[in-house]
Amino acid sequence: MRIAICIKPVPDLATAYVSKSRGELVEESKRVPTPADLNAVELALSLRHAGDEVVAFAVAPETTADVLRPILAVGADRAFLVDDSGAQGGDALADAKALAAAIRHAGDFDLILCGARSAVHEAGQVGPRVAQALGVPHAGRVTSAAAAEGGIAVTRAGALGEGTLELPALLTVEPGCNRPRLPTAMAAMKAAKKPIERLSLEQLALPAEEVGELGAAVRLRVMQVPEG
Amino acid sequence: MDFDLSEHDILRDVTRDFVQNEVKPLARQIDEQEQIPPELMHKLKEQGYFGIPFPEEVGGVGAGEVGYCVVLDEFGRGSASVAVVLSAHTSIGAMPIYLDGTKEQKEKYLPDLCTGNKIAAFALTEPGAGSDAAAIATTAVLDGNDYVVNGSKLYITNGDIADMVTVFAVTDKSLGVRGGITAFIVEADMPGFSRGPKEKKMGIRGSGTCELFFKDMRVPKDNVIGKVGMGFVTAMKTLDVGRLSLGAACTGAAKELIDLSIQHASQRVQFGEPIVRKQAIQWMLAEMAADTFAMESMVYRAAWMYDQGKKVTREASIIKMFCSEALDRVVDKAVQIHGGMGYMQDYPVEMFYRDARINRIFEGTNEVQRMVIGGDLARKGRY
Repeated sequence: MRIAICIKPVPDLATAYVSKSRGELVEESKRVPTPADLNAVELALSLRHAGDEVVAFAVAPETTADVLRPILAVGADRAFLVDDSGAQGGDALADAKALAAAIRHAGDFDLILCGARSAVHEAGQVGPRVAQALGVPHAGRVTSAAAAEGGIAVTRAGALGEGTLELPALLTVEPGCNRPRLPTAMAAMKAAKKPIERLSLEQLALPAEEVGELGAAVRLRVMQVPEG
Repeated sequence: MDFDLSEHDILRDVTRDFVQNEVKPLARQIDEQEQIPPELMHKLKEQGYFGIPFPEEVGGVGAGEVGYCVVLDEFGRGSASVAVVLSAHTSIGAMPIYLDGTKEQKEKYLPDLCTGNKIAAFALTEPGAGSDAAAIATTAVLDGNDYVVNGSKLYITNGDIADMVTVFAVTDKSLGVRGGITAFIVEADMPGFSRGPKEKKMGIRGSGTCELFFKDMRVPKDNVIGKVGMGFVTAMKTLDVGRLSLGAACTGAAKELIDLSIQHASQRVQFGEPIVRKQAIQWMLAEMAADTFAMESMVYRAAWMYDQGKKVTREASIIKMFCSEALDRVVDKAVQIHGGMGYMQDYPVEMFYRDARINRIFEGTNEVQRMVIGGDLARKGRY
């Protein structure tokens, strides 16, 4: 089985803050994976059998490449980064197109996992949009999954219940549904030396107007801190 | 100079998470119960923290001295006791074998030491010999293929749990420290080896410290580390490494104390505003930050030099002396900023205050460091 995981780099909420005077987000440390993505990684690793491949994908500038290293450190086999400047600054629509193209570029996958929603916008749109772009079924807010006859059996959060999806399929994974494993010190050192494979829009055959800022349907105009 | 630590970023992140989730919540319990819980010891082994600087070929993590300092820096934030158990094992217990051991000794001992399956200690100090290493009274007399070792060692960190101890003994009294002291690999199950009770200490109470006794203990000739008579040289080389990591653990503690002090000062309201807005507090924080920045800078610079194969004896002594004294300045201010709370056992700074004090004493007192630094300067006649 080949499993793809989409990683959304987000500001480290322990140190980031919104400047009231400047109306912008101030990030004092490097970006980190969305916490729900780490739950998706844990789910992928728990589903993996010998010979399976787990591959991580992110759309982010080169300076944020390190966000993929913890994923390599816990056991992902490869990591792809769409670091083309034209792919940056997108919204869920544009990022989903870039992620789907990157996943297609890396071959056929049986399972695609995403965090259910990012720690910044919490819109929960990227996962379903990637599924749409890849033409695969999708189940949202998954809390556990197991291989089953004819596909993958999933349990979903709250009253959403259980079900089975045919593969290939995309699951978005509910934050906090499992306890992500910590990499060992040795795995951390090895991950620091593993390559992160870069992808350009040209390699992905993506028109510039469909991704990044140009391809975004939503634009952030102003950021305000609520009173009180 | 390449001061880029990015290769070690992930090791730092991983260790910080580990310390935050697994060590900090237990720090007070470790102090009160005077031991590291077995479950935490197990996790430390599982995560590879007993073999950080050693190359992968011998079973280590291969993070070098810089990576090792990164790890000790992070553990210093969480628990000095845990940092001391790790560093006594790694940088002084196992390191002599790595630095001066034979190929066979490395193959036999390092894999188990790197995984933490076996714990190591370093035994130089004696009731009559501390700063004055030449006064060692433990003897090793050759008898056939064995050395017969008699004597005792005092205040041995990890002495309570060590499976293997690097023991320094006199093989030729007439030659003194230059040629008369030899380092031996002693296994705790050798007949004649025994341990005294754990000492009751002011700080680093979770790390066990005890006396070790050797009575007609037969140690095979093959267990001599390096050459007979060169034990003092091995000890000094080993302590160079130990002194760097001691500085790293002090640096981590200082950073944590700054963070704790800012948190407290931001919440504590006096005269109608959080005290962090008061100049008196900010000036203390500024001085704490300046000391910490100096500590961090010198530790990583010297660790980098060490990884480049440069000799760092003077630098290691400077780091040991400066970082231990700087940490005392930082922790004293942290207690002051916390006020009455800083004196209470309900708050971590009280423990940091007790834990910090040993750093000016062990791994060579700061007076010995001044002798090393001053002696080196006088000999070379220049900076």
